[in-house]
Amino acid sequence: MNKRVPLLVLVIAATVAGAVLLPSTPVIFIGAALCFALVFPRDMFKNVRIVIWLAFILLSILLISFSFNAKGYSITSVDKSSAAGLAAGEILYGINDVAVTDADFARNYSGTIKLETNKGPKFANVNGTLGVEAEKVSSSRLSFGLDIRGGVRAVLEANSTDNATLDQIISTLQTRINIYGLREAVFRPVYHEGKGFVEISIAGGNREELRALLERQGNFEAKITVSPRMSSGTGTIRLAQFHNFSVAGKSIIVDGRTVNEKESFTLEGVEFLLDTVSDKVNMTATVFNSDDIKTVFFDPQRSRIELEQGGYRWSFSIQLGQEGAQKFAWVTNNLEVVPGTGYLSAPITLYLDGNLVDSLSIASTLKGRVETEIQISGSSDTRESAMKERSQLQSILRSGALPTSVEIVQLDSISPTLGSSFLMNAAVAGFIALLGVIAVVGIRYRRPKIVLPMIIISSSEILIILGVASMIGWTIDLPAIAGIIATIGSGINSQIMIIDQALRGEQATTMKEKLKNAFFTIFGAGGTVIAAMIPLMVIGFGLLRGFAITTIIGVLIGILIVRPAFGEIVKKIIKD
Amino acid sequence: MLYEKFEKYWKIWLWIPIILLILSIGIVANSIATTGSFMKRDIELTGGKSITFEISAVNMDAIKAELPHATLRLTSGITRSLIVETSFESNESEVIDAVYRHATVSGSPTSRTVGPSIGNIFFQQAQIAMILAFVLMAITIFILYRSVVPSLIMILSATTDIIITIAVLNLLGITLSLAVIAALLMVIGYSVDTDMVLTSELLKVRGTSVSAGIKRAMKTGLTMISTIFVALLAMYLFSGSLIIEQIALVLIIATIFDAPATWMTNAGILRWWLGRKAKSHSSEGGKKHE
Repeated sequence: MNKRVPLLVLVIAATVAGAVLLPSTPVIFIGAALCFALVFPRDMFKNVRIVIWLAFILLSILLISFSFNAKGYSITSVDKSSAAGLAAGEILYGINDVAVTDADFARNYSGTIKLETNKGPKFANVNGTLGVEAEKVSSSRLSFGLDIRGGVRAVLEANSTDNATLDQIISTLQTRINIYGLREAVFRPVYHEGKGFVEISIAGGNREELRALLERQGNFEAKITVSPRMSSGTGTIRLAQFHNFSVAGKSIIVDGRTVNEKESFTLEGVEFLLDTVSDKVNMTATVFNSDDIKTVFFDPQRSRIELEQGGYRWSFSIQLGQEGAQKFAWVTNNLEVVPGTGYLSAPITLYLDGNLVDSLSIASTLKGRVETEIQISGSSDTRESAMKERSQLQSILRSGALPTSVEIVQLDSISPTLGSSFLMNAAVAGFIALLGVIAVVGIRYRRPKIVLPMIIISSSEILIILGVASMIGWTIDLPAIAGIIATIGSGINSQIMIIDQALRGEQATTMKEKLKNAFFTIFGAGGTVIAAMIPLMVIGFGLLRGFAITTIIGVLIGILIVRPAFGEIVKKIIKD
Repeated sequence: MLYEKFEKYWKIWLWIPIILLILSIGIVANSIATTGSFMKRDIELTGGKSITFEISAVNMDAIKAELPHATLRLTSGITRSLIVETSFESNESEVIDAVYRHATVSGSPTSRTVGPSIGNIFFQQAQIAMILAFVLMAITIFILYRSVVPSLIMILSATTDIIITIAVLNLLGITLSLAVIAALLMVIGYSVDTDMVLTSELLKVRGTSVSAGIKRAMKTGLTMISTIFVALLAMYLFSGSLIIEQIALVLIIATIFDAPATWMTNAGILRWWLGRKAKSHSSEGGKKHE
């Protein structure tokens, strides 16, 4: 054993140095595996409990995938006016051959700059700032929560008790993010005693971005492009009356007026835009807008999802005003029925604030009909995606308006500097706590052979919890850290129970029986902690719920994986 | 030896936590009668604003003079935070301006606004969660030990610890926040740990005297309590985060009172019960009582 100590020190030193200089994860993985091989006697590798524990440690290293030497900044959002040519998700390493720093994103540039990115070097002509937001590339796959990264979180109270309304609010907000390119947000519906809430978290965001998300309401337009049949340079637009037009170069003459390409004109209240003039004339009519849509129906009779061959069919109805219905009927009269499809020759295209958001085929039966209630339908592979498509379209038709009034009942905005200094403080406090624990346990047992495994076991517990967290995509935030502290506390308690039982002097009882007693108490103690956390996990809001879930995961890892291994290690140590 | 002195008067020690429990019930009942809640509620549970600044130098008196209605709190740690709590209606930028005038602030502040309606919901949920947590904890103990009297004693000991902790928090003027609720739930889960060590030792381990069993369990239990205490003290002093500080403080208090609750009340009643059981079943050769 003693011969191995210098070798062990060497391996640890090499691992630490290697983790900083080389790709960290493989180095740490190999380093940890070598350490285990050096520390544990051969026969311990035949023990199932030890093997499971070691496997979890190594797996966690892979899952967390550390990279302490990660460089650069990952682009999180790109301004519309940005001239840097960077895309969200790209990693920026350097500007003009100098490594990037925080300040580079606020600095003004003029002229051509060289950008070193993960997609190779780029040259961009930038006047002003880069127009992008970015954050340091993280040194692991762990995702840190708002409390640590900074951002805004709000809870909205909906003026409705209906579950479908909450889904509709979330879908509407998500649609706004997609259409307007706002910063990604995470939504969670919460129900409490018949009240509906939506929790919104925007990591890295600020209050203005939240306001933009909540207040942004667009202007909706539905358009149909018609190309009237032409004969020797003349054609007819059919509305209530017939409007003949003739082609003259790149313009047309309609009702005695000359209209150039890309110009708009109005006939009987219907607005047209002349798209192109060649052999065929393409013009786009606006058939209705936000004001024409009186109601978008959400009720189960008029908003449905049905099973059909090969997937799900969604449908819902909208109520149009008389004027809109009339325009729709007139314009569709100019379309042809495409034989064998049951649809008209052009689709109806939907725009929000001038952005094309969707396009729908028009059923041939609707041609020229004044219908104030129109059914819209589509198909999707799964029920979930059918529901998603339907509610996205419903919210577009409502001009992206929320289905009900909402009130902000809670608003947190977390400064990123406060968050990062919290992480540092927590690490220092954790280290001092560890020293304190070593001191107490050292005084009590006076044997490094007992104290050392306790520390290794507790550290491995944190590592495995983090590994599981990164596997299930769990976010590390303040409540999660509190949960990890709770778990480590109960872990140290359990280890003391195991050691004290194992150290009992009586010869009459075997080691197996002694540990059996300890494990009865440990499972009991773990059970009571889980029992105390279950109610919170089920009913709690964000903060407390996260704490409860982390604690439960931590305690389960503790009693199922880590403690049994510790029992085996103690057995071995006490025997020696 | 100290332990022998403690051992000799176990019937007297038994009553100390019980008297503390009765006093605590009085304090908690008074709080319920005057504020309608077992502890004074934080803005998180009543609605209000809380703004946190990371500061290096601060003139607390000057800020207090400018913001007479606000509550100011300072956390410890390598970097310190100043937390200003005001009512839901108050103007946030006024508070921020006042703090910037009298403190050296680094970075932008962190703010939290809680509407009164949601604050109330948090409080209701927390109360339900605490009651359910307690019930589930009790059920778990009954399932584990399948013996009514020892289980009841353990639950009594845990209850004593929880109620004394709440009373002490009341006396210290700590307000009930989400973090404090989380910590109290941890107390519900943990307060039975040492009781379990004791009860398992006396009920499950064969061939040892009650007195030796208590002594051994006490050694383990006190080691557990001291390690946790030291770790929590470090978290309390150095975390620099109000949430971790609050959780640590609640657990420190609970850990301190866990010792008398377990080793005086639980040990005392269990010893008495085992003694009676031994007398009535002496022919069965149960545990020897001395």
